Amino acid sequence: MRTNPYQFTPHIGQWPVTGGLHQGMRPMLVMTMLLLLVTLALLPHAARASESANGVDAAAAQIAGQVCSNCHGPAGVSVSPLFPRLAGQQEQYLAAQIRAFKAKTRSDPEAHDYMWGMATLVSEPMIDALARYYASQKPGPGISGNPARIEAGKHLFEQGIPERGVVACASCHGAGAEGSVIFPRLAGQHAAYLVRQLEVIQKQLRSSPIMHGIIKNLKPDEMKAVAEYLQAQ
Amino acid sequence: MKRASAMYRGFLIVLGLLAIFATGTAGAVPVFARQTGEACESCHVSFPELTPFGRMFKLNGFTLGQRQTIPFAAMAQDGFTWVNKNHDDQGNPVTPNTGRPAFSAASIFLGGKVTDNIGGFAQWTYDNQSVNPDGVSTTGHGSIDNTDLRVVGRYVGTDSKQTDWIYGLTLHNNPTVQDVWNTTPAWGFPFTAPPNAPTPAASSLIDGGLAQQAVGLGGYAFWHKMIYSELTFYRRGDGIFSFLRAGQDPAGLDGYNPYWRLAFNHEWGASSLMIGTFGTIVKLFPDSSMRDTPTDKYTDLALDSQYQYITNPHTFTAQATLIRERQDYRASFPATQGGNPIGAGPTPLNAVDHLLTLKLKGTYYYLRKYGGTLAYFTTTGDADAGLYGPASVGGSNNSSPNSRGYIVELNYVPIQYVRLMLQYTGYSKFNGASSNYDGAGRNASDNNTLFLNVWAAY
Repeated sequence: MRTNPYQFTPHIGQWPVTGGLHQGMRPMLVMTMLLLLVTLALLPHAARASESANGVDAAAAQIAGQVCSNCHGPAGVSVSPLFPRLAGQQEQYLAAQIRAFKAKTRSDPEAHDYMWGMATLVSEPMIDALARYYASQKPGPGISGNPARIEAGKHLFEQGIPERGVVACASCHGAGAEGSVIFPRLAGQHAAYLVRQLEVIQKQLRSSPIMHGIIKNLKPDEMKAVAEYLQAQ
Repeated sequence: MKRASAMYRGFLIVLGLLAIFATGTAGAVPVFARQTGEACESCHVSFPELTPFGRMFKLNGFTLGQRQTIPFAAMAQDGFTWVNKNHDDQGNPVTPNTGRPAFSAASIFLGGKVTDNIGGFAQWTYDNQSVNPDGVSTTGHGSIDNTDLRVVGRYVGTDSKQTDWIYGLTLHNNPTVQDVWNTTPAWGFPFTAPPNAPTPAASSLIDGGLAQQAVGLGGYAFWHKMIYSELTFYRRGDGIFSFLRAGQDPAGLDGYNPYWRLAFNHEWGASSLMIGTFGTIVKLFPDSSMRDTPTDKYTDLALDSQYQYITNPHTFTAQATLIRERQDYRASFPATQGGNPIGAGPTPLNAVDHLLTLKLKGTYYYLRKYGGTLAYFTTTGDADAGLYGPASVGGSNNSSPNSRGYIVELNYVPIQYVRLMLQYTGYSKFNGASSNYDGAGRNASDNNTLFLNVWAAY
């Protein structure tokens, strides 16, 4: 039960020792220095991004692998649906989003909590290089879901809901939901992430005037259906 | 009247802190939040429990983000404690400062990135509820708290295999403080406990027994976010390492004592699962001030598992830890039998004793704002009248270390820098029995404790 991390946890029966440097000190010190040197010698593997001979693209690949991958997964195929998959995403869309995080103009709660800080240090050439890197990665496989909802989602994606002014998603995002220029790829994206984006755009927490106009009347079960269809692609 | 004014003062302090926090941007070890620009919840389910990203941040040596010019953060805790029966058989109080607001502790953190490959954190804590030798009055006491300094590297292949190795060294002062799963003792549940409330007599050495009194240097590797392995050696915190136990007495460790850790980690969808084991073999001088004596040998072996499901708005996490300890009193037992215990060392009546501790905990958070936790704990072991003798409140009438109980906790996180907590700890067995466990008429449930705590960090 002595697990309070805020408080020291004295062990009864331990008393201080007086006296100088203990003889056993030396091996520990030598070991520390040796291990430090070994580690430092191995560090070139974790190549400094800016010093890479292959230029900014190689540096972007390193940053993607060492930093972005912590949430967005190896090569942009994330595991947790809290974080979008980036592999195969449209290059211009990605660059615009990173710039929006950096400029703090994309201000949905998750952007604020996770991405504002991460984007602060990304230079302009690096933004473009990261966008190029992820755009060129192979998208992850689709994730199957409820067949009835997928069917309903497919209908909504391809036909929209004309009577409520919901334009067919495919008209901008492409028949295969592969996206185009500034219209993001949606195919294979995590359903939970897509639903969350529809919510924050609908509530105008994420600024996207065109999308807001189209989906302002979309209902939660419709969001879920279209998201599940897209995730399965 | 005095109580009312103390409450008022406490309220004003909390209000003042809220006002300060509302104008700033910070997070959980808030210096890390300032460094990364991220919210506390990106790394913590609720402080100090780590999310998958929090684990990666720590294993990467706290080096992500921008080095801070002023790498400091602060934390304070205020609380009310009520003990079910707060007096012993003589009428003396069991826990001081109950039933009124009491400032319990404050910490300063120094932490974060030093270079792209070096980082760490150090905590200095002022404990305002340190009990004096009279057992009744309290005083303030400052000392070093959890500290973890790292040198790390990471190799990520850019080819199709995406080989991923994180490797590093850690220098720290509390066994398992370096671990990234909240099943290990240093960052295990309960995350905050009532200061000075009665706790069972027995716990294994790795379960807090060496905290801030030993120095560990270890190496670790994490492969593909899948296999974590670590080997660390602990020694006495003295000589040039004594800064790591400043304000604390050093543990009586003899030489270099190994600690190992192996964990299998798997992440899928919103879930992550860890199944692991850790352990240590420690040679301990019975009296830490007498270093020419033979040593006792403690062997701790643990199995642990953690599951986390993190989405918006639901978060569910569960931890299970089983620790078995073998206490080989190869020094103390012969000494005790000879009638001359070694200094202030233990006086076992068995050559070898065992302890088995099980801890289970489940937490649910809605919107990372409203949380509830249920926990169960039990410790069983060999009866030993030499270790667990009858004594009012803290002793055992049947020489048994067996204790069992539960914790119910409610949390409210109005803003990310403040957590309000209501915690109830109930005991069904305490030091060997449910009723009259101490031989002085005290029941296990008399130690049940209600704790209201305000935690604030900036």
